[in-house]
Formats: sequence, C-alpha cells, structure tokens
Amino acid sequence: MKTRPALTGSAAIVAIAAIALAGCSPSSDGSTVELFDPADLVLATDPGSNPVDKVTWGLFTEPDTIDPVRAGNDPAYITIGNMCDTLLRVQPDFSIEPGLATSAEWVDELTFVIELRDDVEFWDGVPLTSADVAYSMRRQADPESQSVNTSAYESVESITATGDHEVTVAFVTPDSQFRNSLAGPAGYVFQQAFTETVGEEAIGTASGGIMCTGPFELEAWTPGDSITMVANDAYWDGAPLVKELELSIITSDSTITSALLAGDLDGAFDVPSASADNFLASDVGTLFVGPSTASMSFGPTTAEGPAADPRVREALDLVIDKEAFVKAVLNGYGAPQRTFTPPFAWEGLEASAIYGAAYEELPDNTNADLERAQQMIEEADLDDTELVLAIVAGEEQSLQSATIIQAAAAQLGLTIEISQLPGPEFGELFYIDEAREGIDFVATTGYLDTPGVLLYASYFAQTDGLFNWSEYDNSEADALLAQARTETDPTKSAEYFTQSQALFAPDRLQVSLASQYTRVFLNDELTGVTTSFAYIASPWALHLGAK
Amino acid sequence: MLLQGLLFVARRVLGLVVTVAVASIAIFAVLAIAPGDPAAALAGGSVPNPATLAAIREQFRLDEPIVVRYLGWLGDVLTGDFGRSFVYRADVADLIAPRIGTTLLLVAYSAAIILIVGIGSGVLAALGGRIADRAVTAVASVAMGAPTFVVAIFLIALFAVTLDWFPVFGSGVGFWDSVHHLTLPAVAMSFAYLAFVSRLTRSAVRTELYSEHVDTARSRGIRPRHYLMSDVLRNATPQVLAVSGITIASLFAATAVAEQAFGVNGIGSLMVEAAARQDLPVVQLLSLFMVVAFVVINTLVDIANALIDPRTVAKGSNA
Repeated sequence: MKTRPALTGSAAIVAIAAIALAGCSPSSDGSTVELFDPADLVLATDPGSNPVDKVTWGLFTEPDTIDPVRAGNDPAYITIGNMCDTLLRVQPDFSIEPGLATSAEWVDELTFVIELRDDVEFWDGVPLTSADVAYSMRRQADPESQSVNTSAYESVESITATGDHEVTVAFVTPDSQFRNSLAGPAGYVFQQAFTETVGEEAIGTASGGIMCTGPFELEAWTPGDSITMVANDAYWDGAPLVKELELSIITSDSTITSALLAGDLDGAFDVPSASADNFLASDVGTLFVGPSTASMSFGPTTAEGPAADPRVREALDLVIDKEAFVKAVLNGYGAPQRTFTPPFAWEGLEASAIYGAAYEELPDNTNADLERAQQMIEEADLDDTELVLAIVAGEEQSLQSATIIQAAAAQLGLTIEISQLPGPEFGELFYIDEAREGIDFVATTGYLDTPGVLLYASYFAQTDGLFNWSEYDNSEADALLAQARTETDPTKSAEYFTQSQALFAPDRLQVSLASQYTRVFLNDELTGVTTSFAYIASPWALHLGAK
Repeated sequence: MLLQGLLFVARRVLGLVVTVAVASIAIFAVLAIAPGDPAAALAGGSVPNPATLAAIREQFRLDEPIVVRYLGWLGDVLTGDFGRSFVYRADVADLIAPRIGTTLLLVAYSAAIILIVGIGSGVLAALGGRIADRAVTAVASVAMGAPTFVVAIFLIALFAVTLDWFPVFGSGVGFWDSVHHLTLPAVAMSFAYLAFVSRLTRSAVRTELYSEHVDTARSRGIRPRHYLMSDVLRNATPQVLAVSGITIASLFAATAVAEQAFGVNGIGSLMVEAAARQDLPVVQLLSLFMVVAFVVINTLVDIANALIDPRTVAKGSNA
C-alpha cells in the first residue's frame, strides 16, 4: 500500500471548514459542491503539434531517489516515467501495450519469454541488450538492492538472457500478475554498465544519476530545487516536442497553486482539490480530471473486538453516505467505490467485461441505511464499543475522513478515538505487530501503480495476507484467489478472481470510502499530457507540446 | 584591561563550546529515541520487504547502541564527515552546501530590513512626537500578530500574482536575481521581528531620554541634538544590540516557514522536509547548525557590546 504525501498550507484552512459541513455539502461560499460527472473524465489531452523550448512542471515533494528499483513515491515515479522505459507500457486508459518489449508472453505454464526491440539505445548511444534487461529484472527482484518491487518477482525462479533480444523468465509457480507488473515500476530497465560503475550507494542519487532509454535524458538534479531533463532526440518512439523539462520542487500547496495561476509553472499533477474553484476560474490554464486507482478506505488492525467482526464493518459502511463523503473530503472529485479493488485497476485489461459485470453485482454502498446498520450492530451484540482509529498525522484529508467515520460510528453507539501518528510511526503499523496494539482500525489512501486486481486481495483477503490482521479465514475464497494467481489465461483468471471477490467483498476487509480522481492543471498553450493515473509509470510528457 | 578583555573573550568562547556540546548530546538523544523506524522511511512509501529493511539498517548502522552511534557521529562531524541522508542517500554536506548561500542571504536580507526599519521606526516613535509614536505603535502591533505563512499568502497574492513584481517561488540564480527572488520571503520573515525590535528600541530610547543625566542636560538648556547622539542613542545601543542579536539568531529557525511558503530552496525548507521524513542525519546536523548560529551570533553581540561599553566586561554580561 502506498500512501500519499501530506498536503500542507492553505488547503488546511479550507478543509477545517469542510469537516464542519460533512454530511450536507455546501462549500464555504454557500454554493453546493457537485459530484464530478464521470462522463467528463479525461485520459489524456490531444498530442501537441509544435515544439516548446522549456516546460516547468510542479512537484509537491522531492523524490528521495530516482533509482527505478528503490523509488517508491509519487514524485519519484513522475520523474522516472519520462526517463526510463518499462518493458510493457501502460496506456492512459490503463491498458497494456508493448514498450521496450515487442512481446512478453507465457510460452508454457512456467516459462515467460520477453522479445525486445532491436533499435533501442541508452542516452549515451550504447544499444540496449538482453543482458541489460536481465540485469535490471534481477536487481528489481533482489531485496539486497533495497528494491521496493520484489513482490512482483515472488514466483520467479530465474531470469536469463536467451538471445541478443530475448529474455526468458522461469517460474516456480505461474503468476498471472507478472505480465501486468512489467508495465509498472517493476518493469523499468536501466543500463548494467552504468549502474555498476556508479555503484549501489550512489545510483539514483542527485550526484550519481541513472542511465536509461526514455524520451527525456537526466540533465541535472539540484537538491531541493529542481530536476531538469532534456529531450532524447534519438528516442525509439519519436523525439519529444519539449526540449527541456524542468520539474520544480515546491512543497507548499498554496505556493504551487499561486505559481500555476500566475503562469510561473506550466502544469502539475494532483493539484489541491480544495483550490479547484481557482483553477476552474483561471484564464491561464485548464483543470483536467482523470480516472485513477487511488482510493480511500479503512480496515481492521486486530483479530479481537468489534473491528474484527464483519457485521460491525458492514454497519459502518452502511452508515456512511459515500456521495456526501466525496463532496466533503474530495470536493466532489471522486466516486463511491464498492470494494477495495478500484475499477480503474481492471478497466483497461483484456477481461474487463468480466470484472465489470462482477463489480456491478456487489452490494451498492453509496447511500446510507441507518436502520439496517443499527440492526447489524444489534446482531453483533458488542461488549466493547470504544474503538481507536489510526491515521497519519498532518494530512487533512485523512483527518476529515476520520472525523466523518467517527460521526457515523456515533450514530451506531460506537465511540471512535482518532489517533494521529507521525509518518514513520504510521508506517510501522504495516509491518511491526506490536505497533498495532491498542488500535482497532487504520484509515489510508492508497493507489495501484500497475494494472491488475490481485494485489489488494492478496493483502487483505488471503488467510496469510500481509495485512490480514483480523485473521480473516475463508478457505473457499483463498482457493479461488490462488487459482486466479496461477491461471495465466486472462479470462479464466478473471473468473476465478470475481468468484472469490463475491465471497470476500461482503465482509468488508476494507470499508471503501471513495475512489479519487486525478486533478491535472495544464497551461492553455500546451497539450498532450497524460491526465489519468497512468502518468504514474509512463512517459506522460512524450506527446506534450504547443498547440 | 587587555588581559581582562582577552579573558572575557576566552570565557565567552568556552561557554559557546560547552553549550554546543551539550546541545549536540540533547539533539542526538532526542532524535534517536523518537518513535518510528527510520528504516521504514528509507523503504519508500511501499510495503517494506524485511530483507530490504535489514539491508538498510545495516548500511546506516541503525542496529548499534545509541552511545556508539553518538560517538561515531561526533567523531565524523569533527573530522568533516557530516554523514549520509537516510532519505536522499546522499552526503549531508552535499545537501547543505548548495542551500546554505540562499539561507544566509535570506537571513542577512531579513536582518537588514529588521535593523533598518525596526530600529529606525523605534527611534522615530520615541523622538518623533505623538502622531509618529501612535502610528508606529499601531502598525507594529498588527505586524507582531501576523503569522509568517499568512503574510506569505498575502504577499504572493498581491505582489507576485496580481502585480507580478516578484516571482511566486524559487531562489534565483546569481546575486541580483537571488535578491529579487528573496525579497518577498525576507519581508514576510521580518514582519514579526521588525515590530518587536521597533517596540524595544522605542522603549530603550525613551528610558534613556528620561534618565537622570539627560534630564540634567535638558534642564541646563542644552539642545537635544547635543545629547541625543552621545547620550541617549549610545546608551540605548547595548540593549537594542542584544535584542537584535537574538532576533537575527532566531531568524535561522524562522526560515523554515518562509522558505517553505515561497518555495525557496534553503536550509529551512530542508529542515522541514527532513523532519517530516525522519531523515535523522540531516535533522541532527541542521539542529546543531542552528544552535551554533544562535550561540555564535550572541557571543559576537556580547563582544561588540563589550567594545562599546567596556563596563560589561567587568560585570560579565549574560546576554
């Protein structure tokens, strides 16, 4: 689960006003917040047609590294996506197309073969070889390299360069998610010689840099200030129109907003939804809203007490009006979500029709049903009605969510204490058992950087799942999930998954609060940027240019 | 007299060293026992693999006892090795070096505004008659109550977005461009301090103005311009200087808010980022840097005061 950076600054003031209004939803100026119409979602703006000397893009946080193997947060992904290529490429609609690989397919149950393009060069002019790809994948799979992408390679036995432009991956057990993973951060490729020369200590740092094949070449990383890249004119998929792309690091929400509105910045991802009215009123640029895999939810952290009881979680789900939630917390830029796997994660997949039909079958949790919720609580016959909900400190969206959950629980006679934990302490909840003592629920915002449905299910619903702290045990659902994992035929895998989902989803291993939309502000002189969440691991500025 | 002076300086410098040493222990201990595992921060925002965490802990010596880590850190700092950032995996020195110039310029700029406008308006309020006094007092009261981040939003909206006189963010390249970029942050930072220095200067000058020897001078019919400079302002100087010294020293901490608000790439914004991400080596060194800056500036002020008024040497000032 990846968590979002904290929002700070003036948005906090707006947020405090919004909390008080949760439930109904007039904004502070008295007008009514509307739910954003899904029909107006934009995947990408039309490709640019004219060259631009320089584009300055806002980054809310500085990446801690641009090593594709260690990078684990939004700003790093936004930076790396334009510099390094993945083996397969995620499209703005979250479908998967060839990237550095012309094909990547299962040839038998345990063997996966990757055929590479033969016309790719690194920025330094050295041709890409299968040895570089095998090296990259091995480094991605190796915990010793401090990789954050090891789970994608969990079932892999070996990775071998089997030809000049061919890499063969042998598996211990088949893994239906593996192909999808190659279109995400786990599929980034970099040069072996450069990585080894710079060394594990310095690779991906401001001074060490990286060597990749992407449309933009790293020019300079001035710590705290900016990361500059220049167009790779020899790029195999066509040279970009933007000659120089500068990512400017600005950590204050209000400053980045002012800079965008003043035209000092050409664009930014994930702009504060609280300032949406200012962006919409701007004559400098346009606010684009796109689909995303980001979602907000809360789930149990204990196997004891009310939180571990599915009826209590269902009651909490039933008592929260999701449309009111989206209006209050996301300023309308989101939608209710029926289960923890967000629809955008599967909408671009081959078997999307199967996933879609199954999603529609899940109980609709949009509207509150207090009566039924109270009935469920009565059935649960609780001894203990005092619960603790942990959130990360300093993120007002989390605090707003928690406040809404608290108010909803009060309607059911449950008292929820909100525990705000600083970032690192909050992070410990996820992998140190003792850190969860005395806590019943944890609320998070997470996102999936790669298409596919198995990740959250394997965390929350599987008996031995990493985050299955309520010790949920549904052997039938488990067996179906395992089959979905090992079945490499996309249609069959989707069928197993959706059958499993039908079993575990009603138990609300996460109470899903909302899907979040992306919000991208772009100067009106420019066009051609990816506006869906696909920007997270793809060259989002490849087609950026002047109108 | 000279010996006494040297002893005074030596005493002050010794005090400085002891203060910094004690502060270094406190900073290290407080941060080391703070809850949260720094290795988690290093593992990115994703689910940490235990083997990855173990590799990080080993690389950054996180498993060793705190005393060993402190002594190792102290030895490294004294020999010029400032350690490596947990988050950026870069040498702390490399993170600080490109930022320090910006922060020093910002502090100097802000200090200049505080001293010139603050002392000037304070003297004006004390000597300029009732209307000037009232006006300065009213403006100072408002300025004193305005938080830096609010002033920042106001300044950006007016001077950067609406009038477009100054850039919204950034640190600038080269001296004049930097001055241009840092004007709004420096003004925002000065506000509260400026009011404080102004009020203090006013009361210091007033106190001197009605002191016995000035009263005597006045009663003898000596005209104000003869005693203003030599008696009133000179006698008010040590007090004003002491307060200004503390003010400027604390400006280093104030850069945290101002740099963040104006997207200035300096020590202050680095401190905020590092603290939020539990980047201990960076927070430790910057905390130490701020203590050193505070103590050094105060020591310099003491010595300057001693030069202006040698009696403080005998008294042993504690400012």
